[in-house]
Amino acid sequence: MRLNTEWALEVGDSVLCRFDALPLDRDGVRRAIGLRPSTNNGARWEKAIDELEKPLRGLARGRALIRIEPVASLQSRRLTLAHGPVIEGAVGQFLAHSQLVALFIATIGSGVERLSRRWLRNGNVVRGLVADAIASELAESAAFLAQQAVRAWALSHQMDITPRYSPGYCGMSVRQQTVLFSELPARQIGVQLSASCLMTPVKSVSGIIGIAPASQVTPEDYPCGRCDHPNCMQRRVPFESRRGSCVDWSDCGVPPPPTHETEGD
Amino acid sequence: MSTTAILESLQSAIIDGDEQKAPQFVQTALADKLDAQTILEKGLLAGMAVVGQRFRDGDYFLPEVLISAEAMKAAMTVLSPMLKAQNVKARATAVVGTVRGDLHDIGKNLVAIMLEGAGFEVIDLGVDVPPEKFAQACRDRKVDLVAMSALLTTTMPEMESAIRMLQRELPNPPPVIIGGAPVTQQYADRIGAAGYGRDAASGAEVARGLCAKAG
Ligand code: B12
Ligand code: SF4
Repeated sequence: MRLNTEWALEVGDSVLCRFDALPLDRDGVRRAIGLRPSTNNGARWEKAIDELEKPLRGLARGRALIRIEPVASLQSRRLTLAHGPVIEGAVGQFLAHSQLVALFIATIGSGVERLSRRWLRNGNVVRGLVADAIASELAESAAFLAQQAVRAWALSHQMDITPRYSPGYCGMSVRQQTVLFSELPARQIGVQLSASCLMTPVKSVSGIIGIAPASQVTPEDYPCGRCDHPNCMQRRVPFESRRGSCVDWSDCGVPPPPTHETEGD
Repeated sequence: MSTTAILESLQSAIIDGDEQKAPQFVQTALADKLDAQTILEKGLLAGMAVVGQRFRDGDYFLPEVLISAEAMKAAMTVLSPMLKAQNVKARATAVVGTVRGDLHDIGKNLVAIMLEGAGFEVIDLGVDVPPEKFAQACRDRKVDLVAMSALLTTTMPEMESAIRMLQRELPNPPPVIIGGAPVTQQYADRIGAAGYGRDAASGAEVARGLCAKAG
């Protein structure tokens, strides 16, 4: 995909990006539903995907907020931004070498989600689930486009980006989203964070992208590049069963950070 | 068409997930003066039982099961008024809800649809359901099963709070099954849930098993 250089990202500023046309990964939709080549009645699901792709892409409002900030210090479990905020998690591994980080929140709004809910409530299971899966993939696309915008900025500054690291994935509590929400004016894109750290609209993604000298960033050197977890969304590898949790480090190809605590304990 | 043939066609429509034919065969059965309970038990639920068996055998996966559930739902729109008129009670009643602090409802909705497909009457408490509301729903009427859903690790502990409250407040607390993306069998064991389902179809199987055990 072409890198997006449209957005005037600047260090220290929150920038709102609007994505008019979100690409849709149809294989991702199939995986999310659990379709296999041999699925009985697979044609019905495919037909629903065909019918819904265009209208739902039209209904999705892809937006993101991005803020690039310099890093003051990066330790194994602690990232301190130059203006003070601290992010905890396995940042030393996931954001290794970062001199700056881009904080982002991306969303597609609530239109598709509401439609999916209505269809399910009326017993229209196929449309409801297809719409949900399309919405999830479009939310991923919005996050991906945000990532591409950061990458364009990084490349124009002789740097590159690390893989994305989202609160709730390996070694970082979903609660770390409170830091992102205090740094970004999420209301501008209509996203709210609940006390339990759930974002609404639900089809939203938050995360941190490291920015480091291009010579130091080799994606394979980051945990997600080495991990063989069969079905983790953060790395976008094909997955068979839609089951995947990197909450438990024993399920994950990287060693646990020294002070990892399982959430929910 | 003989009675047996009508019921077999209805079963096949459910097994194949044909949401056009399933309600049509219910109409045919009603026109043939079959009583609503027989149509439900020997047509729809018998069909869903085959679907459940195929799922357990690994011949069907979630998409197939959900297509059948959709056909079941379509058939029920025709049959439900008759069941009510003939005062036919559901096999068992299940309360479902997404726990406090959590607003994610697609998984819970699919579980509700699958439980209906397994013959449960479902009381859907919606999302962000506090423990007291689960307890109240079980006091208001006889409930045979409670199903709780959560999306995030931050809301999972609410499942434990709700289970503790049911145990504390009710003389005979119904079994609780739990599920949702971050939930595991280990977690279910740890908080004393009676069952766990990795997806909606297995949830319905677990629910069926628990309610059969309870008689
Ligand atoms: C698709 C997806 C997304 C999509 C859509 C999310 C949504 N909720 O709609 C997007 C990309 C937007 C997303 C965002 C995020 N996600 Co996400 N996501 C997933 C993924 C891959 C699938 C979830 C899904 O929607 N499945 C489809 C629906 C139909 O399934 P379901 O709701 O899980 O329900 C099924 C089963 O769970 C079960 N079930 C559900 N309830 C019940 C109840 C009972 C009783 C039973 C028996 C069964 C049962 O049956 C259902 C149907 O078969 C999971 C990982 C996974 N493979 O499960 C991670 C996952 C849920 N996400 C996760 C995280 C962390 C996030 C984010 C916080 C990341 C971030 N910082 O942005 C955000 C949070 C979004 C928010 N609103 O707050 C974590 C949560 C773990 C945690 N730490 O809490 C997971 C588990 C991934 C991981 N780390 O392993 N996500
Ligand atoms: S499970 Fe693997 S791919 Fe997923 S976040 Fe953890 S390290 Fe990355």
